[in-house]
Amino acid sequence: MRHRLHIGTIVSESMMKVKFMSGGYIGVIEEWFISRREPGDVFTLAGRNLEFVMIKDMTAYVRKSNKKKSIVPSWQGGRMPLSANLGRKLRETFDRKSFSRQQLIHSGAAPEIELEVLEPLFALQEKLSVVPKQNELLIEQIETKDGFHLFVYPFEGRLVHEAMAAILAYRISRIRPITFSFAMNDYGFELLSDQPVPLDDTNVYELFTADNLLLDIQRSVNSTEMARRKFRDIAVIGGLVFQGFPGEKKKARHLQASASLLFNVFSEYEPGHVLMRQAYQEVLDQQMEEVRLRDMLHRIQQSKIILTFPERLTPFCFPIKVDSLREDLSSEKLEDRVRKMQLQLENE
Amino acid sequence: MALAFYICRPMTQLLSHIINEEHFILSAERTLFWEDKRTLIVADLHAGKTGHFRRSGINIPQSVYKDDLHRLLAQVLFFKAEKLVIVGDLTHSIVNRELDLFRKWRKDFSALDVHLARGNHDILDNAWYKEADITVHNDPLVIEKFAFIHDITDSEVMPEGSQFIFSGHVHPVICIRGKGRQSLAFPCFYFNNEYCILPAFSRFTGGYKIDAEKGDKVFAIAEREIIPLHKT
Repeated sequence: MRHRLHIGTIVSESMMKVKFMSGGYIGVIEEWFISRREPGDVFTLAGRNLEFVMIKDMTAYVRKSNKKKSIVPSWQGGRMPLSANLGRKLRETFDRKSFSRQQLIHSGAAPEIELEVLEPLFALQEKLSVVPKQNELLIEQIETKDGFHLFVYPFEGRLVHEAMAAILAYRISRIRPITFSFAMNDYGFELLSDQPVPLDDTNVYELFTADNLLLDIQRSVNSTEMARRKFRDIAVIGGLVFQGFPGEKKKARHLQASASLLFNVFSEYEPGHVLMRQAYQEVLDQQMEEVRLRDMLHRIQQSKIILTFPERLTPFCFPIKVDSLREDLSSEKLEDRVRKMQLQLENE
Repeated sequence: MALAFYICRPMTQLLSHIINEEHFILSAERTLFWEDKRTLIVADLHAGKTGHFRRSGINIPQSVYKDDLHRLLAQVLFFKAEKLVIVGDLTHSIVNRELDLFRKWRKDFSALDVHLARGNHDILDNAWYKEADITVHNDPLVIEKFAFIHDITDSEVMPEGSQFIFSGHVHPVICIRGKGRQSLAFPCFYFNNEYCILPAFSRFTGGYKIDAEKGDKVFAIAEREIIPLHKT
């Protein structure tokens, strides 16, 4: 019964019910969003401005608010990645940007309002770094107090960037022991490390080569968190994480374990478990689209790679840097990492 | 705010620690040994947790539980312990067949004196504990100047006659951060001037991130090593 219940599940973010203090049911909202709210915060849901009061028994209680200002809820589903075609269109648009407005009017084409609005940002990007053309790949290396950032902008969509970031991090980590945390959005990805990244114009084409791609894909999947995240969905569908029968108020007692804990237990005690294999397989099939990655690498090989060293954060990199969803890849020993964190703290 | 720690000594598997002039040994296998009384202290065994999940159709590998028992066996033998104090949550839920394994384990150590400070998961019949020859304490167990209770938040005052409390329940995890937005989390022992929280012994347990204040002592368990951390 329980297993049949889970067949065909589409795993969503964990949701929380929203109710009025007086008891009326309003709707559901994603848990990560509501758990960050402080009592008194006002947000909009179901066309109403609601003031957050408290969370009790997995339900968020709210009351009506007359405040004009409110927070608009965001949903993880808004993170749908760019497709290959849209990515290409985006790169073409950057090309058009390099025409000046005058030329456009002269040639009779209507000026594109989107580009016009974004003009100040493009100007700033141009000043601090470069706006890449269609046949160029921009790489920015910036040092901040967080560490050494490496930003790459292939404009291929979030999923491909995640895969590419993992592969690049893996390839660099073979040069010398180094730890990266990485983040990405639809435009590019960032590798962040506590030491300078050994990447310059002598080895950059080598790092973006399509040779040994399949092997590197497999190795980088094993050393990152991608499978762990995939496992969350699989654990729910496979019935490992039991969310209670529909309509049941309280979850089954003593039967709760997080997908992440299950992942740890399985990797240590039963790495060949069918659902674990499934997690790795799904990452390889769905995320590490070999064809698309290979196409991208070929394109990069034929284009001009521009390395810049901006003195401060550029408009391109900013949204990636503030992204909180991060992964790790390390070729250093755990012991060394702990030691190094100690030294950094002492130097401060 | 990020917690800032530094390591004070090299890492080892065992570490001696003095509380109120008594010598204790911390082990990276998540146990604490009281030398003078030859007493091994552990918390949150959650025996039968895999069985409870498996019975409900969730096939967690049983080897986690067997490994837990082996580790406990190794610790008892290694320290030549005469007494075992479990500060709560010996079992995970209601009786299941995996608990027979624990009973068997118990029989092999019939000379070992086992005490349990009742925790929120210890819901078995008193008869079960009696048969297993385990002394259950509903009130705080006090041995000389030390008290043993499951959840430190249950006791607002120091139990009579004691100066220091050993507890479990929380499954404490400490998070350390470094440059480049790196962070690592480890199960840990937590000590302040009045009490200690032990890490959960079972490997099939999650963790709760704790905050440490200045003057507290935290010992992180990184794989097979134990790392003393002091807050800066």
